[in-house]
Amino acid sequence: MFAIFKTWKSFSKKRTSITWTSLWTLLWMGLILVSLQPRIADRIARMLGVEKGADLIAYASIAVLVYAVYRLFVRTEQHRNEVTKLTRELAIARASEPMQKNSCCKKNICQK
Amino acid sequence: MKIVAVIPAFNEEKRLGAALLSASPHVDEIVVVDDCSQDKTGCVARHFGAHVLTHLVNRGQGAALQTGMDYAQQKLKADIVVHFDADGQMRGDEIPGMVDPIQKGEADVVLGSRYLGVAESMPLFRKIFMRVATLFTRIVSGVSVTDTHNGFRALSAFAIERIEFSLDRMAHASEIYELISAHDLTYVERPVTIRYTDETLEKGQSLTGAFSIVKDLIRHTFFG
Repeated sequence: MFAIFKTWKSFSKKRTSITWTSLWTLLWMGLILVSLQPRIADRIARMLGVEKGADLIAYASIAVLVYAVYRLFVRTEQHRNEVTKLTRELAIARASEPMQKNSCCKKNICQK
Repeated sequence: MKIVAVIPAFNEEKRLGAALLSASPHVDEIVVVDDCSQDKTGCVARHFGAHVLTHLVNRGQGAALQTGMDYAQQKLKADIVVHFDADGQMRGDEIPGMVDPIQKGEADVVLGSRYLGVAESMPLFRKIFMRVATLFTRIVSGVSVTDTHNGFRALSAFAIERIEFSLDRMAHASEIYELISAHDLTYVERPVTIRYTDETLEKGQSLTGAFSIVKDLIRHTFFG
């Protein structure tokens, strides 16, 4: 319940989209439902050819986690490219012409 | 034709001056991309009359080269860009030989080869490792070269417009062959001299660096 509350609070502050808010809400509600009525998980598991509901949850969790890691890698790569582009634009905009010695030996402002 | 040398530099205050002196008689302008050095690399570059571009965040050699090429193309209207190292491993007097095929219209890209030329004091392990890397590059990119990961290159304006490194770090040296192949650019190799010293070997690519290149290539393929 707390997770659902946090998700919608995040949505109200426009930090997450409606799609992700709905998906997270469905996920948390599903977890609440399964923990209150474990037989539902067993029934769904049998429909999908898996013996136990707990097994189904484990398989689904692994699949979701793998996908989440993939998405994180993609997003990290996008951020990396954006940082490079920004760094490049700044470097070109602030380029110093030859023999502009007054800008020489300034305090280092790089971000390691 | 306007020739611009692009030199990516990271913490090269001790060796950069010699590299600039070596290259400057053979080019019209020099662009040094200071990749967020913690020493006075940018200061040395300015002192020797180079255009200095400073990366506020360290992005790697591939990103620095791309920054320099963008600047050379947009601001300096370069006809030929020469990639040159900051550590004094390369000889400036070999630049005319590198740009010659472009000036004659024989190639879009000229790639330096230490195996057609001279690799002074190259350790045996590195020789074997570079041979394996060259074979790998030939198979993957289909570009037939005798040397790979040699940073001495010359590119025509036509090639600069088409080549854009998306791999920020050392893996750009593998990416360039893919880009040459993808854009059907004509290329030739020219013999060059690469001098290895204890200092440059210490700072140069190690075995862990090679793993890092492979990791970058994989990451780019699957997540880029």
